[in-house]
Amino acid sequence: MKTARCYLANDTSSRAAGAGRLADAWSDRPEIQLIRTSSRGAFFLEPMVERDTPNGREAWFNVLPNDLPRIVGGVGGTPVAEIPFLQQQARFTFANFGITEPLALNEYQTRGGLKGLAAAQSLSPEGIVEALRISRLRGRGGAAFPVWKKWQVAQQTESEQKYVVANADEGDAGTYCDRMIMEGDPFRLIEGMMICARAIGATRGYIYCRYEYPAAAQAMKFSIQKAREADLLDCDDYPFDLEVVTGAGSYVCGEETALLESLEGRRGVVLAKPPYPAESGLYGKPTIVSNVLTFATIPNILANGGAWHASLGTEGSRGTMALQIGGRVKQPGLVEVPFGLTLHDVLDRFGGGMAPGSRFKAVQVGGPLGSLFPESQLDISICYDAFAEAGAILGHGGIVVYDDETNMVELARHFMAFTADESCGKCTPCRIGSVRGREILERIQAGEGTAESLDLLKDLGETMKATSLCALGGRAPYPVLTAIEHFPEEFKKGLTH
Amino acid sequence: MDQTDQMNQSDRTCPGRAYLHGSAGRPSKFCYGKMVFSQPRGDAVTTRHRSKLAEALESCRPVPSAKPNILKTLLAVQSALGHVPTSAIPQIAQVLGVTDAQVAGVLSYYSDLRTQPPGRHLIRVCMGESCTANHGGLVLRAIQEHVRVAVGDRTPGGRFTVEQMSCAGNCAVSPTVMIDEDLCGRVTPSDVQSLLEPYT
Ligand SMILES: Cc1cc2nc3c(=O)[nH]c(=O)nc-3n(C[C@H](O)[C@H](O)[C@H](O)COP(=O)(O)O)c2cc1C
Ligand code: SF4
Ligand code: FES
Repeated sequence: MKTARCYLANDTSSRAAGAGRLADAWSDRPEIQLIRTSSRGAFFLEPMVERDTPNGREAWFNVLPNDLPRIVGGVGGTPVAEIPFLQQQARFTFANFGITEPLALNEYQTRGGLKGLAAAQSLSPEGIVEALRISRLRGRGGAAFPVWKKWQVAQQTESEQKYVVANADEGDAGTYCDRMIMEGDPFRLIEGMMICARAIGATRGYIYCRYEYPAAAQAMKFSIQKAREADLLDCDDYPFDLEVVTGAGSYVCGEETALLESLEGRRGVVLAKPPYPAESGLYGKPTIVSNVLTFATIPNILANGGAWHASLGTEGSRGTMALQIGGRVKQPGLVEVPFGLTLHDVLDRFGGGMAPGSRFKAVQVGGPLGSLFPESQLDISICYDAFAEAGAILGHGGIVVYDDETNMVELARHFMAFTADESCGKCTPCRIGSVRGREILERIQAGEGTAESLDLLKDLGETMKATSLCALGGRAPYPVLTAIEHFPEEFKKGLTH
Repeated sequence: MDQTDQMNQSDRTCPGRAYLHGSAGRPSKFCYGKMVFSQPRGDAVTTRHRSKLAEALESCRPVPSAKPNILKTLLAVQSALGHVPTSAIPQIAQVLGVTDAQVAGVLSYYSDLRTQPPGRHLIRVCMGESCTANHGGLVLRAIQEHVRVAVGDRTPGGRFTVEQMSCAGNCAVSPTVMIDEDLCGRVTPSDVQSLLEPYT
């Protein structure tokens, strides 16, 4: 019997959707051989099995073990190139997803991997920073700071030791692209960090990976070891080594100064800036802390040139953004598109509308610190400028859709409670303000709010915005205040007078 | 959820520092006293623990030139023992050459470091926004009803500990339940029984 070579994703979410059960069920079936790849990010179709055909790959969706005969017989597959969710994307950083075996360095190289590093090797450190300046890449971790500026500061600060740190804390609920990169294309992160190391003169790197991502940490450790064995890490006599370090469940440790404190083994408390980590970071040495997605975007920029990257997107937001759609949509998953689509377009074309039986109520963009948008505001363009103008943030690209069963008072309480739990405690408006905010909302929930409650909450919110040291306290009021703004009647129901 | 929150609060409240975290007295990392004042069950360092602890600490003993890393050490201890007994703090501090208070401070700060031994299996239900939007709250309730335990607690026989977690990065296949290192997605309340069955 001929064995059908098929592909099945092996990332955490695909396994959570049932990919592992399929692989187990078919492990002793001679008619099929499974190659375990990364996931394409169309998670609503997982577990998805693909097969090579003369016209490219075909796919079967939401596969169950007894679908085996159909797949082996080639019956009922859909050409991958015709899946609308994927077809309408512009995959650059995520080009390998669903195609390669994540931990195979040779496959990474065959598909254009390490070209960015080669280009960087032919440039001076200043030349690398110049390429990034031309690319107009901004950090993808949330603050959207121009990458080249940070690198230039670290480059120009004299020190016998410098560090490069990948922020893999990915704390925003609703985001998972960093996890996908680490599990699905780990060498891309390594390559991006190596390019940064050369640009600033760092010889040591760390990947600070959250505790909740054991598979990602494992994949990174494995690929670092592979890269080391292939003499890739310290190629052309440039000494460089990488290490994976795990956090222990603290949202604020995603903030760069808190992250570095945690990396040194202390309480992850936020520090006042300046000095910025690029001048004085880990152990007081110049350190670049950047998001995983930011590093993973860099190899293509070096390989294709900064101008290529700058040609994508909108005026202030160049390149593509990895949007991660979740919540009550029909088609949750990862979408890489150039900046500039409207939120409505993204939800409609990719999200595919609401999950069966549910009606749209609001969407939150940018994680737990992001604003809520009602249906009337979905025409906002997905780019840093438009969001800044609306007082909102794109953050790390998380998009969570809430349906009409969502209780907005409870949601607002949830956000304040989250901030109260996660506050690092350094400053009063955040540490105490979030607790008071939660208490006010709990009183409203119990029907014991008074006429002043909402004013008090708004006042508190403005104080937190204006006086918190970092964005946790500074942005925490946004989801709460936008909930009150767009759904005032729900809050008023809980007021007695 | 409210009800379980309340059940949960009673044993984790630190009245001495209530002013720091408000009257509701949630578990708080600003509450340094938590570990000193509370009377944890099963906190004694057993003989078996003692040798494992010594081993874990030995592997973390800083080389003379390196700076001690408290968090890394506590994670190593937790991975060896399943938790970090507060009674081990002095020994950890001594090996690292730091103060007891520094170790206690780090231990109380990070929510994934535990001072109590968890059940044989740790069930963590995601309460992130994507999961709650997809009714993760109902899944949590179903799990609690099934194993009859409050959030944060261990079942009497020690089979399960049930906890809430924030986003597991599985938002596109939510709601998410993590049992030990296994992640389950698209969980509904009616899945709960068969989901837990293999974990004895
Ligand atoms: C409360 C808080 C949480 C944060 N969490 C993360 C995170 O999980 N991942 C991340 O990359 N950046 C996070 N950031 C942003 C970092 O401070 C920092 O700006 C970022 O890592 C820089 O990387 P970039 O330049 O690539 O964006 C957080 C910031 C704050 C204030
Ligand atoms: S705003 Fe909150 S998290 Fe940020 S430094 Fe202040 S207390 Fe810490
Ligand atoms: S919100 Fe539950 S996995 Fe992300």
